[in-house]
Amino acid sequence: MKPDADVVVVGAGPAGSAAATTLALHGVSVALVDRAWFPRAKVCGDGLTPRALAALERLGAWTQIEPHAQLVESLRTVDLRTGFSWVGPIPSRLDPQADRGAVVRRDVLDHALLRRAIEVGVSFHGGVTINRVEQGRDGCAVSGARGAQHWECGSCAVILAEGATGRLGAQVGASTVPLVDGIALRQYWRCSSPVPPTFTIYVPLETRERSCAGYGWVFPVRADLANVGVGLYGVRDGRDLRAAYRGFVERLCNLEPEWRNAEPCGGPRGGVLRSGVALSELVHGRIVLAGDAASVTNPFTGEGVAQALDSGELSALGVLEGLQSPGRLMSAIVDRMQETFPQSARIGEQLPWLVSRGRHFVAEFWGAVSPPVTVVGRAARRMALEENLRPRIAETNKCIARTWEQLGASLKGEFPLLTQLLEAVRAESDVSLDAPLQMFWREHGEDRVARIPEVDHIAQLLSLATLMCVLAGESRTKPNRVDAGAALREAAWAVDAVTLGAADILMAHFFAVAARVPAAVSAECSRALSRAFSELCAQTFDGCGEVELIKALLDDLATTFRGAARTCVPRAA
Amino acid sequence: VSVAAATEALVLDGVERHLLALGEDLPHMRAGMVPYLKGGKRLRARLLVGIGSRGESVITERLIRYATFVELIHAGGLCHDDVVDRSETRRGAPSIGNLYGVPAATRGGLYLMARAHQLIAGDDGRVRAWVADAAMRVARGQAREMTDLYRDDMSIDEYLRRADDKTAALFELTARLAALGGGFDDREQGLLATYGARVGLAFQLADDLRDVVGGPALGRERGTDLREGVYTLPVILTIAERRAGWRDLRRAMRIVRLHRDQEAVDACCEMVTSSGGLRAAAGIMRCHLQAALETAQQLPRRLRPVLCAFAGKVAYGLDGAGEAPAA
Repeated sequence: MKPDADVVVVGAGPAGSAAATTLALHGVSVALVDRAWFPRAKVCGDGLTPRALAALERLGAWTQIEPHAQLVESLRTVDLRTGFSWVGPIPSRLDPQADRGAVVRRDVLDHALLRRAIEVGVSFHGGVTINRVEQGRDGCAVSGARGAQHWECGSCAVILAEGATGRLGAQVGASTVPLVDGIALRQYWRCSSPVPPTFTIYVPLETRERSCAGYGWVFPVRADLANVGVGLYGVRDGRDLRAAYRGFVERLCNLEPEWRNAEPCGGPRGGVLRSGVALSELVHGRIVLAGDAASVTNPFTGEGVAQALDSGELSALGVLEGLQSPGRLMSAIVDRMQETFPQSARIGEQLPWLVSRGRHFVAEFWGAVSPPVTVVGRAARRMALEENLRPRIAETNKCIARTWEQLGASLKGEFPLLTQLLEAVRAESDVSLDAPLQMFWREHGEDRVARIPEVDHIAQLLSLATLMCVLAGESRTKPNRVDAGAALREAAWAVDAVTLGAADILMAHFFAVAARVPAAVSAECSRALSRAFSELCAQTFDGCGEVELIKALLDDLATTFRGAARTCVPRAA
Repeated sequence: VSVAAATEALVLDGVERHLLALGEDLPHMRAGMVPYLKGGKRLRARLLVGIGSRGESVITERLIRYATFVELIHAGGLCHDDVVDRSETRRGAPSIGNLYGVPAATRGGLYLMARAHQLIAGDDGRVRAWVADAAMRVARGQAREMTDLYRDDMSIDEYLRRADDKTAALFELTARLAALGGGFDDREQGLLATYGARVGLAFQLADDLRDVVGGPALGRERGTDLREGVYTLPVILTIAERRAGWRDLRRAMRIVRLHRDQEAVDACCEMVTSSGGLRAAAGIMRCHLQAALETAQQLPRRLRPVLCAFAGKVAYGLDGAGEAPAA
């Protein structure tokens, strides 16, 4: 079979166009097929995060898109019950400095991406419905119809980017059941007063009888046009979705009176979300899944464009490697995906429980308006947003960095998610987790004491005690939790369970490190830890300044541990 | 024997007093802590002193300290477990999380664990290392139980390893500490640790069986673990061995996962029983009990009554478990 193209890409949405463009830029001949002609409408929130903008820049498509984009510089979360809102930066995992997002209607975005693909040499075949994808020893055959006409193309590999509702994936053996599934509904509204240039998220939502996991959004397409919608997880009934949307719009009008003068632009339209990408499901022989077909949408935020662009690009790079050395296709793609899609994005694979109860996590992430409730809640949210954790932590002191590294290294093998969580806790805590170590190492700094293993161990004990105090200390339940709906209660439970699991592991680790220091030191540190928890217990009922108390406790711990470490340093002659 | 019995009574009394005094140190939380510090079966402390008091050179002070340690570390874990398992009561009183809220449960549990550690923090490195190893295994087992929630594709080995960590580790440590407090030699200490590990695993598996059997005779609701997504040995085994009706069971479990309805939970328990999964799991449990008793045979004669009696208590309420109910 003589291939008509090196690679056929099925589906010209963001994932397909990104894959096709990347391949063509590397000199590969690509046939890009879609059942539609472009431009065409697509149900979406139309929001582009900094991660999406970075991908568009890499593809060379941003300059064509920018004139049509409404730039957005912040994320606002609003509590629909109280109207209380909180403004923060737009989540971005690539670069903490990049906090610019944009809103671009999907008809415009997808069309621009396709034009970019064609510009770099991709041959586009619109109006073609593919109904068969076959593979043999030497290549693949993709066939279908354009109207009444048969259409067929041979290739070395196929990238299936057929979206959330495509059926070809099942044909090639991919699992058709996404790990996490959601549904969403959006409608455009013409507004008489300017829509603020911010991504606004509204929580919690209510369906017919209960609150549920999901959020409502208002994204500015232009100053006078907004994309308004709701997305829900764990709801299958379209009636629930429509009820949630109606309830949301009604509440919105009460909360922000300017919405009463807004006029709908076309009816509401619904779509499906597929999340919980499983790496083992990505490659089937010569066929690679990308975008929504690979369930790459973030299971917590419902963000899918950035993920689709990244997954399209990564699939293309993997296929390039596979074209050169067949047989490496699977590992080439899995390795790349593993690097770019952090564990938290693949959380469905890691933690099936999140899929059932834990899908309510989504409510915690958005529901926790105002600086969210517990430090672990905030840390988990940060992980779920696929943010990069490291760059935000300034490593000012070599000794402190070493202590954290040692701790991370000893936990990582067995508890990779916990290690990520603790890094996020470090970034999110209201109390500086570095401060006690700073105090500790001031005396036992590198130049004064050559590395004495016991001193390193005591520093680790201090870091563990600090983490436990912060996990236990910053865990106060907000009063509004009491009347929170079922989804928020479930989310709170999940966060509590994670907190307790983490605390128990840290305590066991404290025991383990304490076994490696002299008995007197171990006893001293143990006493100090009991004292700290005893004070935390007493404080539970006082309700006075929590952060101040934790800081004071950590100071005491640092002083005691520093004193204990002093006994391990040999006296100068 | 009467000396041993007297020591036993003395130690258990010491443990109670120790634990209560500890509650006094937390005046704000005393009421919430009482169910954790008082009135338990003291299984672990009893096993520890039962063994320890029959040693060659008994050090009563050590036995009290170690027995208090195992009870205290267990109690600290319970404060946390009750939140994770959503238990509203503990020994007939409200659970600490229920009474004071989750932060109090978090802090209280950590406090008890730290106090427990204080009891052994001055011991030699070997003891501290055993204790640390056990604590780590318990925490790991619990973490794994959480990440395994709703996982229906676990292998039997994987499950047993988890149970070994979660539950058996503390029994193994208990037996080791007992050997140390009683002055047993190294060979005996190793055997006691093996006994502890085996009887501890059987203890967990027996609990798994009781969850599927349930009913008023056992004083517990049927299938609570299953409803919360904690799939225990009989369930895991039915699916892993592809026993009759395993597909239906899996389907029913998905329904439970989505709707948490008790009828589906009961149906699951029935399927596990009729597939023979329950009986097979009971077989595995008895195997471990048997192994524990065989280990006991290699230990000094004076220990055997204690070890056999303890093993006998493990399977309470499970006579004939796994037999299909009479029609």
